[in-house]
Amino acid sequence: MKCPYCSAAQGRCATTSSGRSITECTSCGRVVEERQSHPHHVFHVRAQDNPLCLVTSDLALPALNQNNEEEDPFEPTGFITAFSTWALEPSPLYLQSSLSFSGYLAELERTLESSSSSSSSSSSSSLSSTVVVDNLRAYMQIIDVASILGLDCDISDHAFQLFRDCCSATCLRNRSVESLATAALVQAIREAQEPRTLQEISIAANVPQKEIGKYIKILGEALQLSQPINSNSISVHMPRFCTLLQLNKSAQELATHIGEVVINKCFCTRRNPISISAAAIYLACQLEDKRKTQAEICKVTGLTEVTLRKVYKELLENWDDLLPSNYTPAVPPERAFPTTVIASGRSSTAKVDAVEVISSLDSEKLPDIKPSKPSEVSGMVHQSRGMDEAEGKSNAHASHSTLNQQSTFWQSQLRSGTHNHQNVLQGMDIDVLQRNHQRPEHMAEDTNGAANGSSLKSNNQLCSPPASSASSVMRQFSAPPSSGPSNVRLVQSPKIMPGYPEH
Amino acid sequence: MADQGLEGSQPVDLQKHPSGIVPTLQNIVSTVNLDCKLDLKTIALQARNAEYNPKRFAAVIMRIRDPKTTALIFASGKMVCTGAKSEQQSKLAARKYARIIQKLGFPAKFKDFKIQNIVGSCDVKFPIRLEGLAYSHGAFSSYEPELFPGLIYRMKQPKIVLLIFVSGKIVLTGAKVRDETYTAFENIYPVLTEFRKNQQ
Repeated sequence: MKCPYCSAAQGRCATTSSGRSITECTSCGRVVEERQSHPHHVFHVRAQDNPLCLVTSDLALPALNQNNEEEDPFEPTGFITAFSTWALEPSPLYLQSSLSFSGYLAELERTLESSSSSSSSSSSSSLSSTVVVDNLRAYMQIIDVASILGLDCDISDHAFQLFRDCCSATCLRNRSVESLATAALVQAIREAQEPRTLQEISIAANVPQKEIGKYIKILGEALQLSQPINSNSISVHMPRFCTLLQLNKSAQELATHIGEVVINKCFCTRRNPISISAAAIYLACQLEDKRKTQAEICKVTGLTEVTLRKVYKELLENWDDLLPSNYTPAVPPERAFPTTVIASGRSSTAKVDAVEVISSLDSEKLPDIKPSKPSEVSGMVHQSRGMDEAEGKSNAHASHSTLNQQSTFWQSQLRSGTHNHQNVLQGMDIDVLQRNHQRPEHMAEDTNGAANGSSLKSNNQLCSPPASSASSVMRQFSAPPSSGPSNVRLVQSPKIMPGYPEH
Repeated sequence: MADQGLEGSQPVDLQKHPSGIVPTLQNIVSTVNLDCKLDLKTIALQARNAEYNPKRFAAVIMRIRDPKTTALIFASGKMVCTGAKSEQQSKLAARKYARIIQKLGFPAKFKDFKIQNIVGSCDVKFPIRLEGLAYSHGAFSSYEPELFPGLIYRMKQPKIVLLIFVSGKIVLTGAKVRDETYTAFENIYPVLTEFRKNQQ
């Protein structure tokens, strides 16, 4: 064992004024190690070895005890007892067990005693006593926090060493000793690759996170420390969270993979790694059918459920990019996270079919386009709804002309007559449609007026079949770049008018 | 964030800006001494766009629209002017505030005008591996994603603090002169390209 002060290898045994056993360094005389001894009687340890039987004689009952209602059952007759032969030793034997630990506290006590006992009240002695008190406070803080967090004593010793080095390197006047001690512990934890979140440490130390961050910076500047690699990465915290949640290996690996992909692809750039870890675990649990509630995950990670839900929704936007290429989930994604969760609440109001408009109008069947992601449908709906406000007024003026332009499209739908597309014409006044179609072109242009300049073309409009001629409103629609071919359009099925049977 | 300083409108001088990116100045903080004692209550009551709450802060907060700035006017006659986008604007704004004080009947002068801080920002247009940067430049860097999503890089020469974000957005603060901001960015740009994140 080496002396932490002067690195000498030799020590001598001694006793403190309070009677504790210590090991002193022979060269610098400081306390290196403290030992606590516990004496044990040997016959306690070795009871029942070679028992010696002793028989008591039958004694006459004393006069005092005759009046007692409850008589001692052993008194009238003799009874046999067994003592260990070791109990009859004239000088009993003892065993000693010894517990040794760091000598910092004993060294601090000794320094404190020597500084207080010295009668000279010079500034240097008062300064040294202040330093000792600070060191004592720091040591107690480190020990307390380390015990709450369940850390190894090596980590707390290293943290105290960092604290003392920082004290000697910089002036810490008007600095919080507890905060600096906590920051030293954070640094020691990171160097030992023993992950703990700042929130956990903050709660255990009763020091604000911001304060800890400030003192980590002070400590780093004083000791020229660099940040340990991966000290903040998702991969550091993930195994511990998974262990605490009792997840199996496959779920843990999936969660770790999701976390790494999120970081590498910059999906949640401004998110705390802890919250990404939590959301990745939640996602992995759903895919692996190891259902964990949000409350359970939040309890382990220290997040709020609101944060977890927010990050989870951010991850869901790109869920198919997050999974490994050769991964087959235990639960199909449609069931693990239904589209109702993925799409936002606004899109649930209108049922939308994506229809490809074929250039040849007499085609028999209009195939349905299934978007690659469930979120794309909601994206389309959002865009089409977004057009409502922007074009409300101009569309009101241009309703007749746009209907006229679109009439060929509706007639082609009529001609095709397939069962699939009956719903397109439900609630539509066909007589009105044909009557409008027979009107001359110039009449339609006149009614259009100023709206002509907006160049509404039939091939890029969202066609909503009118319930009556007055309320027919055509909406422009620009498909998102990711939604397949450019000729994909949306057709919104109208509400059924009274008198029209539902198919 | 505003567009890059000279990009698009004017060609960038590659001698001065080898990276081809010019940080845009976002805020200038300057101080000036009006060299006379001021009655803040009078100023607050008589001047427009002035607020004074002595319990909250011991200075009058005054604003003007052109240049769009805010001034803190203290009873000692010292004034802090913030919010200008250039050095000239900052000086002009400070002069306007001094003129307002003069019109209120105080013998205000315009002494010791000095720019105290220049804040600039720019975008390198690629994501950055902040952890690697924090590890390799540990002496200058502080990265605590649990507290703040950006890496704080304290450059020694010039003495500038940079906030570097994963997205590639950079904030440079602490400069006294515009050129310090430009130099700091040119110094950090090769480091950022070294820690460019390869998006899979």
